[in-house]
Amino acid sequence: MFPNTEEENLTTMILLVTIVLIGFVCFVVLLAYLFTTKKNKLLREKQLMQAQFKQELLQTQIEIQSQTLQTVSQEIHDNLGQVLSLIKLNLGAIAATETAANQTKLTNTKQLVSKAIGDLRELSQSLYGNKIAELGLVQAIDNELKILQNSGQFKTSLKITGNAFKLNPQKEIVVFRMMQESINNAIKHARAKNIEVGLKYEAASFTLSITDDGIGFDPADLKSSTQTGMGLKSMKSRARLIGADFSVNSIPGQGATVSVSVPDVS
Amino acid sequence: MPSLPLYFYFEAGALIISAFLLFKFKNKPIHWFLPFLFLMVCVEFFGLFYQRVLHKPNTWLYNITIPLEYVFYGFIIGSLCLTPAFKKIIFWLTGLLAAWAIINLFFIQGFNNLNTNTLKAGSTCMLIFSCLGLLDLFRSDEHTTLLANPLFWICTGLLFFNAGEFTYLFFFDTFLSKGWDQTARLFGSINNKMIFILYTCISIAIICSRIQKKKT
Repeated sequence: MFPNTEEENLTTMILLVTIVLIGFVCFVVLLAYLFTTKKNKLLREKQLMQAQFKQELLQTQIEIQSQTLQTVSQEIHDNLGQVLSLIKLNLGAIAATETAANQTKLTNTKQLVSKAIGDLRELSQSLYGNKIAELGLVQAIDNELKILQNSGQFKTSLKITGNAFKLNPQKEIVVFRMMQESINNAIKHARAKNIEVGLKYEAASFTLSITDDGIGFDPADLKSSTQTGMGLKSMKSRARLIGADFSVNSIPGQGATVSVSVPDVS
Repeated sequence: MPSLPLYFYFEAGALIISAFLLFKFKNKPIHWFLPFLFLMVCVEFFGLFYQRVLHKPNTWLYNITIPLEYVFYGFIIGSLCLTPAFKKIIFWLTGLLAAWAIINLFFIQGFNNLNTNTLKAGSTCMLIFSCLGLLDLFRSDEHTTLLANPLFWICTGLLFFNAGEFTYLFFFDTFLSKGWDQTARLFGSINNKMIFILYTCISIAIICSRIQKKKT
């Protein structure tokens, strides 16, 4: 094929080296592919572990919060409640021996103490997570709205769509706390007077919505703000914990609506 | 005009793909492939025209454009790399290569002799740049879809192309001086096949960059 041996030998040598080089390139490319696939797998596992860790951290935070609220609730019920009951009893005993003018004052004081006992009982129930699970979400929310309505400063309404069913107890507590946080925001920041809570029960999902007639805000401001309120952050975290979708819609001057949608309630 | 070689169609194909995908698309540095490929197709066309129609030597044309090709690939790989050290190495070597090509063109081998010194240095640099480019992909902490990454395809194409002609280039002067045409033809044919791979990889890189841009 080649006119002389020198040319043939050199050509064969170059060809061989070229084949080896191309083979090496194929090996490098294959190695790159395999290495990247393995690296991606490890990265995915790492992300999954981080997500799981975050979830566990959130759960622990909520459990600690729940425990704290329970302790506060018990303290109110066992100590403050007992002390007030004792005061009421003492007032009753004193009233029998007092003059008519003082009796009116004592009756008024007894009524005030009774109201304080009632309010504390409601507050204790509202803080006590297990009570929420016992009462059920609808009843717990209804009680909460009644407390607000009884203050005389707010008008509240509860709208239930679909056939109400029980969610997982942990989910019910989380949803209830989110409702409390939303109402708190509506009163504190939005200066709302009317609050409407909606509970929508569907075959495979549940949606809680809280609508107020407060001053509202521009959601874009909320997104661009680096100091998004702790309440909102906590609500987002809670929603993530139970796998719910959380959204806030508002127009300045036209109130706001907070929605928590829990998919796959089965 | 005699028929055009097959590799020319691969270059023209890459140009058409880049014209469709990169014309209104500002994704630095990939969009520089459009003027680059246009230049390459023009160079190939005029090179063939000079040689086959006018029967004049076209070496001077390649002596000017091949270093430009090396500088362009150095710039592209350097820009796509994320590791600062790799960027620095690639840009420095590209600068040195460009300086060496100019010195060789004006003072050593001249315009009318094929600048084999530049080709040897350029091919070596291309192999180094491609390896650094691939290494950069390994080092990334982010999730990398290799087959959808433009840098991967550019480096793969350049690796194959330069691995195919690297050894041959180092003995090119011997073949020329001894007039071994048969060997020159054999390696010319290997080189043409490597051009298919290079421009196919570049076309895929352009498509991948467009898909990436759309996703972002």
